[in-house]
Amino acid sequence: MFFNYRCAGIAYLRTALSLVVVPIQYLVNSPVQLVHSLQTIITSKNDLLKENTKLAAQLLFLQAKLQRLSYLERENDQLRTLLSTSKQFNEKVLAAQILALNIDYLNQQAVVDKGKKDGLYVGQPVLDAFGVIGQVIALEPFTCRILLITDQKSAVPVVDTRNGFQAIAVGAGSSGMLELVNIPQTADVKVGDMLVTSGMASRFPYGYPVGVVDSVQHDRGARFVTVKIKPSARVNSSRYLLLLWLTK
Amino acid sequence: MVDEMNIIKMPLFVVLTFLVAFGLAILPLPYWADWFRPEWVVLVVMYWSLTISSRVNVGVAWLVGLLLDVLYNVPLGQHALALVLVTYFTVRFSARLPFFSFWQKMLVLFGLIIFYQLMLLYLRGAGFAYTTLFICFSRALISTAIWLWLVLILGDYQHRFDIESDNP
Repeated sequence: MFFNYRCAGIAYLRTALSLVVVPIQYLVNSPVQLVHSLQTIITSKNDLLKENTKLAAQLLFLQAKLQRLSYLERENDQLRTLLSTSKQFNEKVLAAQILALNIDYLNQQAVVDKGKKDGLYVGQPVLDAFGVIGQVIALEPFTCRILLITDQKSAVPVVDTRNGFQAIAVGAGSSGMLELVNIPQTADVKVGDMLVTSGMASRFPYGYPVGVVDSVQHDRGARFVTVKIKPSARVNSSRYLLLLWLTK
Repeated sequence: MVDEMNIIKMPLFVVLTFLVAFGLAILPLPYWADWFRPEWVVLVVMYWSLTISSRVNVGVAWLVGLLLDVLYNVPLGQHALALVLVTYFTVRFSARLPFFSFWQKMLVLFGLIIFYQLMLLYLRGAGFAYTTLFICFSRALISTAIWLWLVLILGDYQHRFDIESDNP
């Protein structure tokens, strides 16, 4: 472990050893992929027609909302220039698919089918359809590894949409929830508060949903409040993800 | 006569059991199933180090641990160290085990698995939250129960593939 952090050459050993190990990962995840592909192959025509009309309606609704978005973005930029603050980032997205999901009580990561050749970088934020799901931690030529937000090593800076209270949401491991750390007893956090990324630390862009506060526990003798958050992203069951680039 | 190239002459079946144990260890299961996951790799390594300790011993345990580190994509060496310690204690006390009663053997097994998990928690720097400790406890219990089944299965295949046992 000492060598892992000090010697960069350890990565070659890891790649060599992974030749043995990666086939097992793919083999173990293949039933999940198989079920997913069977689901798409074996659907009745009726179901497909229904899904089609539902998606068309959803698309129309989203396009209507989007019409206002470009105007709002321009207005936002103008206001920011007036206030002499820096402009918002523009975001480029890339869709990807999960190849393998590894959820253990100490370690939660996913392997995704886009890699170095697609121009990814370490630390890139990853979303699914409902919210932030993690960040890229390792790159290989054709795949990459994502640390999910529920992993204990993952920390996302969040802000409460109700009152602008800022905190850091750390993964709580096997429960599939997140926790806000170091919240003083006097903080204004209530159950049902919606938390979005605050854009601090420039890793996750501002405004993407992270979760909803599920429980707030005030222990009399403790220094901090225990706040549990239910993540918006479907961490366990998402299949399609979006990778985000931040460009000015 | 001491066989120098022991590791090269590892029976294919033993390698296969390790690979299957790796596969079972990373089987994608929902969040609640974490409480019921046995520690397959530890059990398999312990079984082989008890039956053919001339082939499978701390060296093999170290390699298996290293592969496990790559499997979980964590800094290399955590599982290696934990597995080496567990295998060392298993082999060291393997001579005394036939004299233990059934429940004492189960208790030793339980203790070793708890030790392995605590070692991993310490090496990862993970917090010792109550839920984490409860998960360790329930996983060790399930592993101990699975051990009985594993001994039967592996013992059967061991005789089928004619792998000579070093301990009776």
